[in-house]
Amino acid sequence: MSEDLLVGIIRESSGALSDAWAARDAGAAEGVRIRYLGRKGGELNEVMRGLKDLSAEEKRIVGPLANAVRTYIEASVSAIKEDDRDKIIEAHRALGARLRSREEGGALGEMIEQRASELLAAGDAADTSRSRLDLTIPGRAPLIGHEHPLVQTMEDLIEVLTRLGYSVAEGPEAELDYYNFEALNIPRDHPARDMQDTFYLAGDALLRTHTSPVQIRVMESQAPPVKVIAPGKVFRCDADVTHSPMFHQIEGLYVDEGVTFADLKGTLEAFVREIFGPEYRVRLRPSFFPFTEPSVEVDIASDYVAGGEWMEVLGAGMVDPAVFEAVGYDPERWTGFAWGLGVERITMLRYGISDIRLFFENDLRMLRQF
Amino acid sequence: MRISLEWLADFIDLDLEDPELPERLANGLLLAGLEVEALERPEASFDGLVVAEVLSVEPHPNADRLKLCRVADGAGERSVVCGAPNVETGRRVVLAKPGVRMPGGMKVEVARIRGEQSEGMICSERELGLGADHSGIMVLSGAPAVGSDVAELLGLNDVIFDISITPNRADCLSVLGVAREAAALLGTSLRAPGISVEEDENTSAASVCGVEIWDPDKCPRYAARIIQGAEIGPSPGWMARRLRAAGMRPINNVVDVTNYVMLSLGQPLHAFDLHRLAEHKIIVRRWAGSDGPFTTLDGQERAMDDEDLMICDGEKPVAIGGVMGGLFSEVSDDTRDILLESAYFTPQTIRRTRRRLGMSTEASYRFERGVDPSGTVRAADLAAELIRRTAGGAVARGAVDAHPAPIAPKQVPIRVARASSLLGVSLDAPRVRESLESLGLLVSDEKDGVFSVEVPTFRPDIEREIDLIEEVGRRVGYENIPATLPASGNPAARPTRARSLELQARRTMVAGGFSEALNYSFVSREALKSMGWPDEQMVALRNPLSGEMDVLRTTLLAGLLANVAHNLSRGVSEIRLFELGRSFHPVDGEALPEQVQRAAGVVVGNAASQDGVSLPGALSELKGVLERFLESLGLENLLFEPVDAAPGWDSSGVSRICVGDDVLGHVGLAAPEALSVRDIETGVAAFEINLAALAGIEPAPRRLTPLPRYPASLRDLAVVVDAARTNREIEEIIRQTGGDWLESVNLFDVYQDPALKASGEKSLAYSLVFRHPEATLTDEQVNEAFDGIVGALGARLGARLRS
Repeated sequence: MSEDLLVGIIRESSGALSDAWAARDAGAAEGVRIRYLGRKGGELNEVMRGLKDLSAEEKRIVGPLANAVRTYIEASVSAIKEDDRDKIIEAHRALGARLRSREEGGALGEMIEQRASELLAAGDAADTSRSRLDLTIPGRAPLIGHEHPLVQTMEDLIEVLTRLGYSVAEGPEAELDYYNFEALNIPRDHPARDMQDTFYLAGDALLRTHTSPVQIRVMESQAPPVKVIAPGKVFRCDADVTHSPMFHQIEGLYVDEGVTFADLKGTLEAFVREIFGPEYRVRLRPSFFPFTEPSVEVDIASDYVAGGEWMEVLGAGMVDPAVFEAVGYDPERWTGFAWGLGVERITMLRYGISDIRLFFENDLRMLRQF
Repeated sequence: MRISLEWLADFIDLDLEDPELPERLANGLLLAGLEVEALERPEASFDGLVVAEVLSVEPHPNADRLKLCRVADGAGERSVVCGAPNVETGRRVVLAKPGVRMPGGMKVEVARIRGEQSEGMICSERELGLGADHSGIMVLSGAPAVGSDVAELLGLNDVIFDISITPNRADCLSVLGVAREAAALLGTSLRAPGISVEEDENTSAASVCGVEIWDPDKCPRYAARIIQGAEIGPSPGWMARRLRAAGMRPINNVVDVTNYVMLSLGQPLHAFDLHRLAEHKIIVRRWAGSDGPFTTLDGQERAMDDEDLMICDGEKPVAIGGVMGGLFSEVSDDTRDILLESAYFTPQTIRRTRRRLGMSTEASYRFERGVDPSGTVRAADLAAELIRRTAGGAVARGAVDAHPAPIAPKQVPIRVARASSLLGVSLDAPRVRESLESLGLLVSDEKDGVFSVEVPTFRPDIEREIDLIEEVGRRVGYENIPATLPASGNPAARPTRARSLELQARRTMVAGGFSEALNYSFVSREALKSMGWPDEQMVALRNPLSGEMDVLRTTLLAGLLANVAHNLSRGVSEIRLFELGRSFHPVDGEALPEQVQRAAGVVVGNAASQDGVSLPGALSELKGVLERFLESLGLENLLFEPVDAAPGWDSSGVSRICVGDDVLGHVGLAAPEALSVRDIETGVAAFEINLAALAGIEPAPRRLTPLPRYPASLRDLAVVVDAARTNREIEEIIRQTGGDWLESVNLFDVYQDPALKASGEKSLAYSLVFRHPEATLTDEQVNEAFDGIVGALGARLGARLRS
């Protein structure tokens, strides 16, 4: 197709012309002219002769471009013969601008313009008369996408935890009552069920209210020791500025012989400082979760954030012996800890986002900021 | 739970003058697991707020509406200018002396008002921060001593702790319970509430009423007290003030006493009008069908079932046990004789009934978490005595205490060594003993490193050794436990194939200019229907938040199309979005739906092909990125097969994505109906693939193709074929017939001009690369191969070279 032939001509002729200029070789320049514009068999002439066979649409594109290439070669050749720097640079810029204005020619145009700047610089560093590049002109933005800010936080957390030796585990979002509650020491008639407003599906199925059921599934499927994290979506019947009916948690579980509460404390401190920064203080407060005992809420504070106020970021505790019994681990031999954190909350703290609903509108004006 | 500091001081010794006490106590409670969410303290300084008596009232010489008063403040007399209509000689009022800072920040000073000296201010309720009344000054009733401290009299300096109590700590749903924790952390002892009831020796409660428990499983204990001749009226100020501080509204002296005792001791009580109880009798039993619906005191008629526990009189139910009283037996203004109920109901019973009825009351909240079964009579005693003091009347001798199923304190062992090894801190026996005893637990002598602990009935949450270890940990303080890192175990396992696929999909899509969306896993049934999904292929939520999210998504496209609509409506037009997430599909005979990890993407743009034969721009962009992703996985045999219809897709522009025999998903244009219901007026190109199925396909191993050492020969091939022929058909023939040296085939142009359109044809142009690995091909060799291709295309598809 003639357009591609033209592209070939541009590539090859511009190389030859720039070599000829570098050598100030008028003979070579004339060679270029003959090859492309020669009366007999000039390659560009052939293209122009072929124009008559093209569709009207193609003619409209190829014709003017072929003319521009002719002008470029002619001007360049005479510039080399006359040793006229301004002229050869102008010829390149004109063609480059023309190509860049075309949809598919951007890269080629850039190449030609690049060549113009090379010509400008080549062999004449002493020439102080040329103007400086205006580097305050912005570069062209490539078209790239953006990861969701929640995913970025989640992947950052996973990265840190993988380095601490945790493997990633997954479980179903639509879960059985047994895994979400019963096996986690939350029997049916227990007020702790009110701590989490549950979406129910048919029969015994529900949408998991936390990532903790993954603990049970992992422990059921493997013998201790266990060191896993479970990132994922969780669901609660609740919606306002700080509550979303769906949000994300990361759960951690470590079970081995001789794991202590002090180990939990040390792990959480290391984790918090890794994620938020070494200047953070960590405070553990007694709390209650049916599947851990002792249970804690973890607050963090930094002198530089929120006036040093404590902020609640995660819940944790030593795995309750009842949970070990549910999965057939001997609670006398094995001890462990588990913790869970809300990815939205941490992302909101991280980026100063105050409305949780923004995460799920997927407004590109928001996504493109991350 | 709102706890008043001044009320706490009923149970423990507190130095209320210590300005740092509230902060210290709040912090201590927080670190003991009683989360103080707010500490409310007076903003004002009430030093100098005294009871004064108005001695005389004269008109102000220079202002009609002001008055000149002489008041006695206990230390002397002073003049005060006052504008209130109700200032009268002899009244006891609240005087703010100069220096007092009022709530709201105003400081009282000596001033000249219209030429007359005013040495203080007589205050209204609103000025004191006690209420909204500003129609006149506050007049003190009960003749408090002139000069006495008003802040103390009215409790203006009280501090309120607003504490969030976790569900396991039922014992802390009372001032007594919080005081027990406070005593432990302040190292002081708890003052047991000593109650002596002044009784009418001539009448015994048992002679007035009877109590029968027919269902001891649900109600192990029921105590009744009788008060006769009481007079219903407003509660005394101190009681009303404490109720208000706790967040309750005073109603009348009898009801207020029941609430007051509940707040103080944690035992919910109920007061019946004795004469509305048939046969003056209480029977505790299950609801029976013949009882019919029951009307609670809020006037609601409620349907009951035979698992619900009812408090009945000799004939009929009069209350839902532990949840709410009945409309027809409650205390009213003309009630004189009262039967006071103080009972223990089992938590499961109360929880079941109140959940079924969809209601929660202060009483049910406590019963379902567990009240102290040993505190039943004590609470009845306190309430009876308080009713006698505030409403008058006589308390009949004794309580009728039906107690068919006594609940004994539990004995729980704790090993000192286990406590140390679990907490990771070295503890000795005395430390363990001291920790538990400070909380009111009874610790036996140590034997072989084991204590046997008697757990009083007010702590139903403590049943196992681990529960005791937690208590020890709390008392030691988590801040005093060291922070250690566990000996590192095995290194983390490699990510699963499913997870690496997800990461790779994300990388490719982002690099291709797509931004990541996250949508809810639930959508509206209507949204799926508009895409052609039938009801039986959806998983419904039993209790959706709204009709906008009542089924689980069967496709990620439902969410992405909603995102497209959202962005378009906000003026964003260049839209490329993708999502990674699960879809849900019911499976017959399975409790859980199938949950499939998928990737989907959309590009917004014109859905029409420019010339009828080339791909629409949006679809071409989208498919390009999708193909890069699939190629990056090293998949072989990637095919796009036409398919007639699929839910959500435009039937004229959709194809299946297959790898060999495996179907991965679809790519094409979104169905016009799916767009129009979302008010999307432009086209949307989309793809959706099953990542889980992809994870099951082994990729071809990656091997370097040696870089060519000999030059290639290029040929362009432009053919005209019937418009119904596909690129795939043509490419296959080229590859089959191009010979051994055909290295690559690339379609670079598809078009149809009016002439081709008229003949029902289209043109496709390919660039062919021929190369021999060990030689330079001659023109003749290449021409031969090229001619072979042209011949085959002509013979098999009727294709001709474009002239």
